Amino acid sequence: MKTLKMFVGLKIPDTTAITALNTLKRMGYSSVGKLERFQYYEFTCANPELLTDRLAKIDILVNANKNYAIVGTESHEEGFTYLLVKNKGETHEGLLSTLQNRLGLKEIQSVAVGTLWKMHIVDPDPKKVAEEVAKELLASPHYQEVVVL
Amino acid sequence: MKPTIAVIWFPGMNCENEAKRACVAAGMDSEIARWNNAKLEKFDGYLLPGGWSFEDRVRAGVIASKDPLFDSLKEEAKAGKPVLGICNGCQVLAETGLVPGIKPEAQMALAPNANPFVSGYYCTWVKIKHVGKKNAYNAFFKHGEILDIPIAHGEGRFISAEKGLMEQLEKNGQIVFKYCDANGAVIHDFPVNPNGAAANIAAVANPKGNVLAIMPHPERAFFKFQHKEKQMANYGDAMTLMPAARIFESMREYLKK
Repeated sequence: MKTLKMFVGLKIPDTTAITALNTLKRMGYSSVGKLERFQYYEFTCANPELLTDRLAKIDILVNANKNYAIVGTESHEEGFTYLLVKNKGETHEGLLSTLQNRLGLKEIQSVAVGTLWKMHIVDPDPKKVAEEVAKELLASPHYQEVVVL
Repeated sequence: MKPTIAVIWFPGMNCENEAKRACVAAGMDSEIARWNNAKLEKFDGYLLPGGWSFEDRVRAGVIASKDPLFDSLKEEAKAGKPVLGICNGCQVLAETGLVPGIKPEAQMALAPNANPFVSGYYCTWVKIKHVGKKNAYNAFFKHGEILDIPIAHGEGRFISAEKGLMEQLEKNGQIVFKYCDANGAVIHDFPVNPNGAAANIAAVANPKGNVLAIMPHPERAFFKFQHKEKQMANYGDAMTLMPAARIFESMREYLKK
């Protein structure tokens, strides 16, 4: 089994990311210069190449009027730190069932969902700042898990 | 002179008028105080109402909880003034660490509901049982008393990653109300526990008992006309107070002391 990732961003201004950035500035994190947010999907399947073109057209995940999707890429933009936040213990069986049964994507074996934060941090140790920002605002340690990518 | 309660409104909260009405009907004065110009020190107590502060951006209650207003509110709470958070106000209080308040940091959170049938927002009437030690909000409840009360939330599951916290809260009597069935049995499964809350917690207080965070809406179970069954004989009967009104009456009595 292989994994295929998809990042879904907003074409329109993301008020959640703007509010989070303003809040971080107020909390004293002036080193965080830019903050973007993506819905993160991770699909497990045997042949990801068969899915790549189809995933970005699934309108329950990507609304073409307001979203754009990046599928399959692992490359991260130079100078940015990425923070992935997932809720612990969520199985997303409902979404998997919809993808498999209603949309006919039987080849998908499992799906994971999270929020991916893309941050430009002006600091000698951006990873440390990202971890602090996660702890202070972007993730609850009580029910979420965080990975700095 | 009646005590005055500030209903602290953040953008996106939408239960401020019901909350104010409940305070007034319980014999207190009340004002809606905007988050960005609230003069907290002039009030005798505080209420954070329900709604979606800052549209629940990032997660429910967290943006409001980082507002500088809480530097002052924490001081007022430390001085013993009552602070009641309902629904979104409950989520905000958990994010600030004011509840459970054993340590200064946020020791618990309100996670998305764990409901086997409905994902996201869930709205229904539930039963809760009074189980806590005496505090500013439960002076008029008997131990084990059961109340009808509505819930309306998507992130109402009390949870903590801190080992032993739930046992400590039980031991301290800080868990004030628990979800239960019609006979008072505390059953962890849906639908008795509508959101999967740890230890069936519906409301939790700080150790001093002057701060209470409650997920169900007592201000929506205040008068008989609000009850789901609405078995009223006449208009006067419609305005009869329901048991949940005693949370506000107890707050009033606490302020008399």
